Amino acid sequence: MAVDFETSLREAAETIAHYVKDAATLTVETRYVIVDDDGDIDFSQAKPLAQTVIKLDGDSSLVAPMRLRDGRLELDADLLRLHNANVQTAIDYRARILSSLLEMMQSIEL
Amino acid sequence: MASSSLSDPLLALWLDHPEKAVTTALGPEKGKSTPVVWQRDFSADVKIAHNQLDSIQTLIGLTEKSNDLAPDRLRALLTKQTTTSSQAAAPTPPLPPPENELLALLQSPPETASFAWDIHYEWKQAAEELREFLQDVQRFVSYYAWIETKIEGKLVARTLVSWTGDFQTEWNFPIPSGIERLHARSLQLALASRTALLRTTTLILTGAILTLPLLAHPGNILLTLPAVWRFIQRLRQELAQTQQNDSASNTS
Repeated sequence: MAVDFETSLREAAETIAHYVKDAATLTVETRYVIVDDDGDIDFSQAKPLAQTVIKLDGDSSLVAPMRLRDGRLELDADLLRLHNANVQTAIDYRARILSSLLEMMQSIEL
Repeated sequence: MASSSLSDPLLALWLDHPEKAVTTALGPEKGKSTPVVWQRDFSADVKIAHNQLDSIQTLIGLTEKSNDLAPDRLRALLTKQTTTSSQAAAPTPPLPPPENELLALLQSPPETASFAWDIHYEWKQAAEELREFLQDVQRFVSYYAWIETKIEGKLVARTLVSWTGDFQTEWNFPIPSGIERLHARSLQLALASRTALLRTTTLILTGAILTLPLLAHPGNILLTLPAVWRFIQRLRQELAQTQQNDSASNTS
């Protein structure tokens, strides 16, 4: 039983250490699929809509959804808002989860 | 996850879906992986759907509250026990049930020669529950999370989240009115449950170290871990009971 505890905790710590080491970028991607005429959905056919990449060194990039209207490109504000809501959730989550992962890793190492 | 174990009410909200192994481009977990799934199938009535999420939010809130309370309650118990043992016998108020059970378990771990068989049984039971919980947590941290929103059985959105917060969301267009907010709320609750589970695990570990002086005989944290696990479960039950009593008295 004691060995079980130790094994589970050690393996969890190793997994967490791996995540923390690889946390240099934050990528948020939004995709879409369109319901076909029969009402069926095939998520494997999802197409990219927008992507945000934020790097720890402060660089960030955004691929934004554009629409062609009257020969001119326009930003699709509704889709961008949908994407940005996820970016904010991801940023908030990253801060909380990294703190929890580090705290857990430290307590395992005690 | 829920199919194999119900070691924790929050873990029970997640499901193993080995048949859903996918190739993903997400961060450090890219490649083939088996996700754990937070799958909510809602009513088409958005108001009813939010009520479904309200009960999940209450459950997560209870865990967060017990996670907040547990360290203070453990420290208070430690102070009380060390003070009481150094003073002459003076009348002290009775301990709350979670603290009482914790002390009983700490003072009779199975390695001690005691005839308190019922306590030994409880300790072994707690140890078995903890073993299941830690195994589930270990598997839980090995996978990214897959948050799915269905309406009346039809998938409308799903978000894949790596442990470090890389997101990949797929929407089924057109998005019905109110579903965008519903999926966002479900996603936030799923992530809150993930964070709360990690905090519970950390608390079990730090609590086990904190309560070492309360062991009847010298030992290591492997002896205190099950007792602290049980304490945290009991504390959450106590809070749930208080919340239930409060809402009953508010409605009467």
